[in-house]
Amino acid sequence: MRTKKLAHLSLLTAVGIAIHIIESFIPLPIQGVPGAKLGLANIVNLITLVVFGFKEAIVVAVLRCFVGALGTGAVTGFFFSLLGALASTVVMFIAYKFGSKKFSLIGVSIFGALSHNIAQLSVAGIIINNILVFSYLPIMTLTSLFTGYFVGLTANYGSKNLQNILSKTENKY
Amino acid sequence: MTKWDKFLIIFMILAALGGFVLVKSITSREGQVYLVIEIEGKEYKKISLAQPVSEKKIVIDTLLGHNIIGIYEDGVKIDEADCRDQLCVKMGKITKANQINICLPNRVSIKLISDESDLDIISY
Repeated sequence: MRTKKLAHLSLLTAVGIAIHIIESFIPLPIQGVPGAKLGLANIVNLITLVVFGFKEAIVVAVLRCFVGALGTGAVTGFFFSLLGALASTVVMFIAYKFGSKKFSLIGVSIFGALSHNIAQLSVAGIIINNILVFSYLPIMTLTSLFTGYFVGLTANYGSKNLQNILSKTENKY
Repeated sequence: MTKWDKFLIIFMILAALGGFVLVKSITSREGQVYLVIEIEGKEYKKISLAQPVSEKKIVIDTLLGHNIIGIYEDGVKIDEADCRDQLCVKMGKITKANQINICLPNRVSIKLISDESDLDIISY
Protein backbone atom coordinates (compact mmCIF):
# COMPACT_ATOMS: atom_id res chain seq x y z
CA MET A 1 0.00 0.00 0.00
CA ARG A 2 2.87 2.33 0.81
CA THR A 3 4.38 2.19 -2.66
CA LYS A 4 1.01 2.47 -4.33
CA LYS A 5 0.15 5.49 -2.22
CA LEU A 6 3.49 7.04 -3.11
CA ALA A 7 2.81 6.48 -6.79
CA HIS A 8 -0.68 7.94 -6.57
CA LEU A 9 0.47 10.96 -4.61
CA SER A 10 3.24 11.69 -7.09
CA LEU A 11 0.76 11.34 -9.96
CA LEU A 12 -1.58 13.79 -8.26
CA THR A 13 1.30 16.19 -7.65
CA ALA A 14 2.30 15.96 -11.31
CA VAL A 15 -1.25 16.73 -12.43
CA GLY A 16 -1.31 19.64 -9.99
CA ILE A 17 1.93 21.06 -11.38
CA ALA A 18 0.60 20.80 -14.92
CA ILE A 19 -2.60 22.63 -13.99
CA HIS A 20 -0.59 25.20 -12.02
CA ILE A 21 1.65 26.01 -14.99
CA ILE A 22 -1.15 26.08 -17.56
CA GLU A 23 -3.21 28.22 -15.22
CA SER A 24 -0.46 30.81 -15.02
CA PHE A 25 -0.99 31.50 -18.72
CA ILE A 26 -4.53 32.67 -18.05
CA PRO A 27 -4.52 36.40 -17.34
CA LEU A 28 -6.88 37.81 -14.75
CA PRO A 29 -8.27 41.29 -15.28
CA ILE A 30 -7.19 42.37 -11.80
CA GLN A 31 -4.42 44.94 -11.61
CA GLY A 32 -2.20 45.28 -8.59
CA VAL A 33 -2.25 41.69 -7.42
CA PRO A 34 0.72 40.02 -9.11
CA GLY A 35 0.39 36.28 -9.30
CA ALA A 36 -3.33 36.19 -8.68
CA LYS A 37 -4.71 33.08 -10.31
CA LEU A 38 -7.97 31.28 -10.76
CA GLY A 39 -7.08 28.48 -8.36
CA LEU A 40 -7.95 25.53 -10.57
CA ALA A 41 -5.03 23.59 -9.09
CA ASN A 42 -7.20 23.27 -6.01
CA ILE A 43 -8.82 20.30 -7.78
CA VAL A 44 -5.76 18.23 -6.90
CA ASN A 45 -5.67 19.43 -3.31
CA LEU A 46 -9.34 18.63 -2.82
CA ILE A 47 -9.09 15.16 -4.37
CA THR A 48 -6.05 14.34 -2.24
CA LEU A 49 -7.81 15.64 0.84
CA VAL A 50 -10.87 13.48 0.22
CA VAL A 51 -9.13 10.30 -0.87
CA PHE A 52 -5.96 10.28 1.23
CA GLY A 53 -6.25 12.78 4.06
CA PHE A 54 -5.04 16.05 5.48
CA LYS A 55 -1.32 15.38 5.82
CA GLU A 56 -1.03 14.10 2.26
CA ALA A 57 -2.97 17.09 0.95
CA ILE A 58 -0.55 19.50 2.64
CA VAL A 59 2.42 17.62 1.19
CA VAL A 60 0.94 17.68 -2.31
CA ALA A 61 0.08 21.39 -2.01
CA VAL A 62 3.58 22.40 -0.90
CA LEU A 63 5.30 20.26 -3.53
CA ARG A 64 2.96 21.52 -6.22
CA CYS A 65 3.63 25.16 -5.37
CA PHE A 66 7.38 24.65 -5.12
CA VAL A 67 7.82 22.86 -8.44
CA GLY A 68 5.15 25.03 -10.04
CA ALA A 69 7.09 28.15 -9.08
CA LEU A 70 10.19 26.64 -10.68
CA GLY A 71 8.13 25.91 -13.78
CA THR A 72 6.54 29.32 -14.13
CA GLY A 73 9.57 31.25 -12.89
CA ALA A 74 7.44 33.53 -10.75
CA VAL A 75 9.27 34.15 -7.49
CA THR A 76 6.72 36.48 -5.93
CA GLY A 77 3.98 34.25 -7.26
CA PHE A 78 5.50 31.45 -5.20
CA PHE A 79 4.58 33.07 -1.90
CA PHE A 80 1.12 33.87 -3.15
CA SER A 81 0.37 30.37 -4.32
CA LEU A 82 2.07 28.64 -1.38
CA LEU A 83 0.18 30.59 1.27
CA GLY A 84 -3.02 30.42 -0.74
CA ALA A 85 -2.73 26.67 -1.16
CA LEU A 86 -1.90 26.09 2.51
CA ALA A 87 -4.76 28.28 3.71
CA SER A 88 -7.26 26.73 1.36
CA THR A 89 -6.18 23.19 2.26
CA VAL A 90 -6.56 23.87 5.97
CA VAL A 91 -9.96 25.53 5.52
CA MET A 92 -11.18 22.81 3.17
CA PHE A 93 -10.09 20.17 5.67
CA ILE A 94 -12.08 21.87 8.43
CA ALA A 95 -15.09 22.34 6.16
CA TYR A 96 -14.90 18.75 4.92
CA LYS A 97 -14.49 17.23 8.35
CA PHE A 98 -17.17 19.16 10.18
CA GLY A 99 -19.52 20.11 7.38
CA SER A 100 -19.51 17.21 4.92
CA LYS A 101 -23.04 16.25 6.01
CA LYS A 102 -24.33 19.67 5.04
CA PHE A 103 -22.04 20.74 2.23
CA SER A 104 -21.11 18.73 -0.83
CA LEU A 105 -17.63 19.04 -2.28
CA ILE A 106 -18.81 22.12 -4.16
CA GLY A 107 -19.42 23.98 -0.91
CA VAL A 108 -16.12 22.75 0.52
CA SER A 109 -14.22 23.98 -2.51
CA ILE A 110 -15.95 27.36 -2.41
CA PHE A 111 -14.73 27.72 1.18
CA GLY A 112 -11.27 26.79 -0.03
CA ALA A 113 -11.36 29.28 -2.89
CA LEU A 114 -12.47 32.07 -0.57
CA SER A 115 -9.67 31.42 1.89
CA HIS A 116 -7.26 31.15 -1.04
CA ASN A 117 -8.24 34.67 -2.10
CA ILE A 118 -7.97 36.09 1.39
CA ALA A 119 -4.54 34.55 1.86
CA GLN A 120 -3.36 35.86 -1.51
CA LEU A 121 -4.60 39.36 -0.77
CA SER A 122 -3.01 39.32 2.68
CA VAL A 123 0.35 38.46 1.12
CA ALA A 124 -0.16 41.16 -1.51
CA GLY A 125 -1.05 43.67 1.19
CA ILE A 126 2.09 42.82 3.15
CA ILE A 127 4.35 42.94 0.08
CA ILE A 128 3.17 46.26 -1.33
CA ASN A 129 2.42 47.54 2.17
CA ASN A 130 -1.06 48.76 1.44
CA ILE A 131 -4.22 47.43 3.03
CA LEU A 132 -6.31 48.77 0.16
CA VAL A 133 -5.63 45.66 -1.95
CA PHE A 134 -8.55 44.16 -0.08
CA SER A 135 -10.78 46.28 -2.28
CA TYR A 136 -10.19 43.56 -4.88
CA LEU A 137 -11.83 40.98 -2.62
CA PRO A 138 -15.41 41.36 -3.97
CA ILE A 139 -14.48 40.79 -7.60
CA MET A 140 -12.17 37.94 -6.64
CA THR A 141 -14.96 36.41 -4.58
CA LEU A 142 -17.25 36.42 -7.60
CA THR A 143 -14.65 34.74 -9.82
CA SER A 144 -13.82 32.27 -7.08
CA LEU A 145 -17.49 31.26 -6.91
CA PHE A 146 -17.32 30.07 -10.50
CA THR A 147 -13.98 28.31 -10.18
CA GLY A 148 -14.97 26.92 -6.80
CA TYR A 149 -18.09 25.43 -8.34
CA PHE A 150 -16.18 23.73 -11.14
CA VAL A 151 -13.39 22.61 -8.84
CA GLY A 152 -16.02 21.03 -6.60
CA LEU A 153 -17.70 19.25 -9.50
CA THR A 154 -14.42 17.94 -10.87
CA ALA A 155 -13.23 16.79 -7.47
CA ASN A 156 -16.56 15.06 -6.93
CA TYR A 157 -16.19 12.86 -10.01
CA GLY A 158 -12.44 12.52 -9.71
CA SER A 159 -12.39 11.41 -6.09
CA LYS A 160 -15.22 8.90 -6.68
CA ASN A 161 -13.34 7.24 -9.50
CA LEU A 162 -10.03 7.32 -7.68
CA GLN A 163 -11.59 5.67 -4.65
CA ASN A 164 -13.08 3.01 -6.91
CA ILE A 165 -9.71 2.30 -8.48
CA LEU A 166 -8.00 2.16 -5.10
CA SER A 167 -10.55 -0.25 -3.60
CA LYS A 168 -10.51 -2.51 -6.67
CA THR A 169 -6.76 -2.88 -6.79
CA GLU A 170 -6.66 -3.46 -3.06
CA ASN A 171 -8.99 -6.43 -3.38
CA LYS A 172 -6.90 -7.94 -6.13
CA TYR A 173 -3.74 -8.28 -4.12
CA MET B 1 -25.21 20.11 -4.74
CA THR B 2 -27.10 20.31 -1.47
CA LYS B 3 -29.39 22.96 -0.09
CA TRP B 4 -26.53 24.34 2.00
CA ASP B 5 -24.34 24.77 -1.06
CA LYS B 6 -26.99 26.94 -2.66
CA PHE B 7 -27.28 28.98 0.54
CA LEU B 8 -23.51 29.42 0.57
CA ILE B 9 -23.39 30.55 -3.07
CA ILE B 10 -26.23 33.03 -2.64
CA PHE B 11 -24.69 34.34 0.55
CA MET B 12 -21.32 34.80 -1.15
CA ILE B 13 -22.87 36.67 -4.09
CA LEU B 14 -24.66 38.99 -1.68
CA ALA B 15 -21.49 39.49 0.36
CA ALA B 16 -19.54 40.32 -2.80
CA LEU B 17 -22.15 42.85 -3.88
CA GLY B 18 -22.07 44.37 -0.41
CA GLY B 19 -18.30 44.48 -0.68
CA PHE B 20 -18.54 46.39 -3.95
CA VAL B 21 -20.73 49.01 -2.29
CA LEU B 22 -18.36 49.22 0.68
CA VAL B 23 -15.31 49.64 -1.56
CA LYS B 24 -17.09 52.34 -3.50
CA SER B 25 -17.92 54.20 -0.30
CA ILE B 26 -14.32 53.98 0.92
CA THR B 27 -12.64 55.20 -2.24
CA SER B 28 -15.03 58.00 -3.22
CA ARG B 29 -15.01 60.33 -0.28
CA GLU B 30 -14.71 63.60 -2.12
CA GLY B 31 -15.15 66.05 0.73
CA GLN B 32 -11.86 65.73 2.57
CA VAL B 33 -9.30 64.84 -0.08
CA TYR B 34 -5.98 66.68 -0.20
CA LEU B 35 -3.42 66.87 -2.95
CA VAL B 36 0.14 66.65 -1.67
CA ILE B 37 3.05 67.52 -3.93
CA GLU B 38 6.44 66.33 -2.79
CA ILE B 39 9.84 67.22 -4.19
CA GLU B 40 12.72 64.97 -3.22
CA GLY B 41 10.60 63.48 -0.44
CA LYS B 42 9.84 66.83 1.15
CA GLU B 43 6.37 68.27 1.16
CA TYR B 44 6.18 71.18 -1.26
CA LYS B 45 2.51 71.99 -1.34
CA LYS B 46 -0.68 70.70 0.19
CA ILE B 47 -3.93 71.72 -1.45
CA SER B 48 -7.42 70.84 -0.31
CA LEU B 49 -9.59 69.65 -3.13
CA ALA B 50 -12.81 70.08 -1.18
CA GLN B 51 -13.65 73.54 -2.46
CA PRO B 52 -12.99 74.65 -6.04
CA VAL B 53 -9.29 75.32 -6.39
CA SER B 54 -8.26 78.64 -7.87
CA GLU B 55 -5.03 77.61 -9.54
CA LYS B 56 -5.68 74.90 -12.06
CA LYS B 57 -2.06 74.47 -13.13
CA ILE B 58 0.96 74.25 -10.88
CA VAL B 59 4.36 74.74 -12.49
CA ILE B 60 7.32 73.18 -10.75
CA ASP B 61 10.81 74.09 -11.86
CA THR B 62 13.72 72.56 -10.04
CA LEU B 63 17.30 71.87 -10.96
CA LEU B 64 16.27 68.39 -11.96
CA GLY B 65 13.53 69.31 -14.34
CA HIS B 66 10.24 70.88 -15.19
CA ASN B 67 6.76 69.62 -14.42
CA ILE B 68 3.28 70.99 -14.82
CA ILE B 69 0.61 69.52 -12.61
CA GLY B 70 -3.02 70.08 -13.56
CA ILE B 71 -5.97 69.96 -11.22
CA TYR B 72 -9.29 69.01 -12.75
CA GLU B 73 -12.81 68.48 -11.52
CA ASP B 74 -12.42 64.73 -11.19
CA GLY B 75 -8.76 64.28 -10.44
CA VAL B 76 -5.17 65.37 -10.65
CA LYS B 77 -2.62 64.57 -13.30
CA ILE B 78 0.86 65.49 -14.40
CA ASP B 79 0.29 67.43 -17.60
CA GLU B 80 3.85 67.90 -18.65
CA ALA B 81 7.26 66.61 -17.74
CA ASP B 82 10.59 67.04 -19.47
CA CYS B 83 11.84 63.60 -18.56
CA ARG B 84 12.67 60.92 -21.06
CA ASP B 85 10.18 58.15 -20.40
CA GLN B 86 7.06 60.28 -19.74
CA LEU B 87 5.68 57.50 -17.53
CA CYS B 88 4.05 59.91 -15.13
CA VAL B 89 2.24 61.68 -17.94
CA LYS B 90 1.08 58.41 -19.41
CA MET B 91 -0.28 57.26 -16.08
CA GLY B 92 -3.09 59.76 -16.38
CA LYS B 93 -5.37 61.07 -13.72
CA ILE B 94 -5.40 59.97 -10.14
CA THR B 95 -8.84 60.36 -8.77
CA LYS B 96 -9.10 58.61 -5.42
CA ALA B 97 -7.54 58.94 -2.01
CA ASN B 98 -4.30 57.01 -1.43
CA GLN B 99 -3.35 56.96 -5.08
CA ILE B 100 0.07 58.21 -6.04
CA ASN B 101 1.89 59.27 -9.18
CA ILE B 102 5.63 59.75 -9.26
CA CYS B 103 7.93 61.39 -11.78
CA LEU B 104 11.06 59.63 -10.71
CA PRO B 105 13.67 61.43 -12.89
CA ASN B 106 12.54 64.80 -11.54
CA ARG B 107 11.93 63.51 -7.99
CA VAL B 108 8.41 64.90 -8.02
CA SER B 109 5.50 62.95 -6.63
CA ILE B 110 1.84 63.83 -6.34
CA LYS B 111 -0.53 61.93 -4.12
CA LEU B 112 -4.04 62.22 -2.88
CA ILE B 113 -4.64 61.67 0.80
CA SER B 114 -7.84 61.85 2.73
CA ASP B 115 -8.38 63.51 6.08
CA GLU B 116 -8.75 60.25 7.89
CA SER B 117 -5.70 58.08 8.23
CA ASP B 118 -5.34 54.62 6.74
CA LEU B 119 -6.10 53.08 10.10
CA ASP B 120 -9.69 54.18 9.89
CA ILE B 121 -10.03 52.34 6.64
CA ILE B 122 -8.64 49.16 8.15
CA SER B 123 -11.32 49.14 10.83
CA TYR B 124 -13.91 48.38 8.18
